[in-house]
Amino acid sequence: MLRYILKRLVQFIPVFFGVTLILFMITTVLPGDPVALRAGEKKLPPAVYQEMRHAFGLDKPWYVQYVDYLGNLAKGDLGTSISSGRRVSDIFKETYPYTARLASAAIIIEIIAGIGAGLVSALKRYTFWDTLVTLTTSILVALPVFWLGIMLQYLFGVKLQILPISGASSARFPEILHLVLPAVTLASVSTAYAARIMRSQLLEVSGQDYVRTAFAKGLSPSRVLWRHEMKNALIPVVTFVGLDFGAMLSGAILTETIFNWPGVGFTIYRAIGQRDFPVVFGGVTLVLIVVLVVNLLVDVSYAFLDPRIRYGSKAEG
Amino acid sequence: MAARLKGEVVSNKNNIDTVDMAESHGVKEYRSGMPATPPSEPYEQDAGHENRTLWGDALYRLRRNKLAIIALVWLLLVGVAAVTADLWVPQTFGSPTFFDTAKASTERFLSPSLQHPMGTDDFGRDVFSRVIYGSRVSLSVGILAVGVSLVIGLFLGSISAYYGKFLDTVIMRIADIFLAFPYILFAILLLSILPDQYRGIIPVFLTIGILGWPSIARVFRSSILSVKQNDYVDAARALGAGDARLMMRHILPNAIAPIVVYATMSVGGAILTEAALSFLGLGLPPGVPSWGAMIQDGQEYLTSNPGVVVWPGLAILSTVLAFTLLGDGIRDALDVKLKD
Repeated sequence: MLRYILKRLVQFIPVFFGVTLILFMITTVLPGDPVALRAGEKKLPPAVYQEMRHAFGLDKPWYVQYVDYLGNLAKGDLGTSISSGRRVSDIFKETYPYTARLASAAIIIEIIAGIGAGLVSALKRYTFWDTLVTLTTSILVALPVFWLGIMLQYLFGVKLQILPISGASSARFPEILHLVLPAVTLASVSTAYAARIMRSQLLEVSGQDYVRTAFAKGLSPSRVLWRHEMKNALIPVVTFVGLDFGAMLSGAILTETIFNWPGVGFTIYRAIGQRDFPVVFGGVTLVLIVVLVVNLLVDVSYAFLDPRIRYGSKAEG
Repeated sequence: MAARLKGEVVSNKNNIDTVDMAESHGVKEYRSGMPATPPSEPYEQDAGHENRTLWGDALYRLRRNKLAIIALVWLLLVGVAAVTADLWVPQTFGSPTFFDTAKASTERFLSPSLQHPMGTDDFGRDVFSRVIYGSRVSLSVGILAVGVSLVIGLFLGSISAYYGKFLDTVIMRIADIFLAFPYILFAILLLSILPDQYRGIIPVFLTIGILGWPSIARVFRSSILSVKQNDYVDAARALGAGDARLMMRHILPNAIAPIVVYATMSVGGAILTEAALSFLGLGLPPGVPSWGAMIQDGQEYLTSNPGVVVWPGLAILSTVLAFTLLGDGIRDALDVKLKD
């Protein structure tokens, strides 16, 4: 197991360098000057302008900037924002909890609604409920997320006026209510996938010999379902939900933008507009590491959930 | 679905019988005489019939799938409307882009009527006309983007699977890098490179296409790897077939089914991405009617005139849904197993 984890970490190294290198190369060809953008309408005196470019290392060639960036990263320094002058690590310390909160709320919805719907659909196979779930999941997958968000804002915020439509806190609503619409929007597509996987897995498992054996030895249907079928059918669902959690933790640009949610995705998106490269790099680096850790955790937990899987054994290579 | 599940269980035991029955009784009797093995059976059994190919079989099954047919008809309708739009839409409902500043104040936000089936927008332009013209952007970006992914993905996927070892490792690592990058973020960055005057349909579908190749390459690679193990490949090699011939004649035709399914579904995904990018203001130049941009423009009038946001959203939903259902139908018809 330890060998497997090490192997995965080693595999991550080229991915990390690849992504950050591509990112650097893209930013060098991006039109727009962060220093000029920061100054806004008024023109900076050439001396001040040059000095600021020098201070942020923008006067150096991109590969020197890249090496500097890696060096600072190794020291745990993510740099300073060009547009606000704040430390990048401080910016993400402030915004990350919002993304984490949103992701957690969304994943709870996904687990409850997704597994629940998939279960109902599989148990009431070929009935009205099954059709309803199948139809709903198809529609959810085809929905543009941003449009769903806007429609929810319109329905619950404008028409019914029972939920806040923007931001993470306000005087009028408790904070938990601010979470509802963004979380539902973010969870929508993945809930549909989770339900589909749950359904197809249960159907596949129900034809297995060990299920027939369990019935044959006189176990009650509920015991067969929970102790035998679910135990196996849940494994792929858990994997999907875990990987999805990693993706959500990397910030949901669309959802966060629509709901003005001050999370990581929103911050990175705004930083791209301001050409605030240190924030973009810092954000992407952070996101990459989070995704790596979550994916690794998912794979490791896989071995605990399914004893048939052995990592790092000779058969695996 | 029930029949298929049952059929899968049964088929292992009855494989040999089925082949015998099918050959001696002919196609029709085979179908009516063997209820336990429905037409959606693995196609190996039918291999002996000269008039029943994998694709012929698939077409037969697809025709019996009502949802897939509805989806196909819808897509054809949208496609025909998009292609022929210039001939009838502006004449009947008004121009999707031109507006008369003098009339804009009296004609803005009209309710749906015969003249304006979906009402008018903030400039007094016909929403229906804009939705139709928006379908041009969505359909062409969706199809061309998947085309780009296919060209790159099939090429890299096949060399990866076929030559294995070093090239395989390199290509799959590059695929990992692409997949590790947050998708929308990557697209936003790539599209931000272009100065405004170069904005248009080409950078959008190129960007989406370039980001989509790793999945295609992976699906195709694993598909080839499983086909490669078959005895007929070894047989062909033993008969002296070269790499190119093996690939084109024996491996590709048998490995292509999952790609057909995946590509169909991907068109829907590409349309969603295009809409999201247009919504963020990174798609086509301002003024060109595209569904995502219409939603973005209409957002500020949502409280008073939700129609301008609802219609383009429904257009995206129905078109993407149609591609998904069609993909589902083709998957069932070809009996392909894809990870959900």
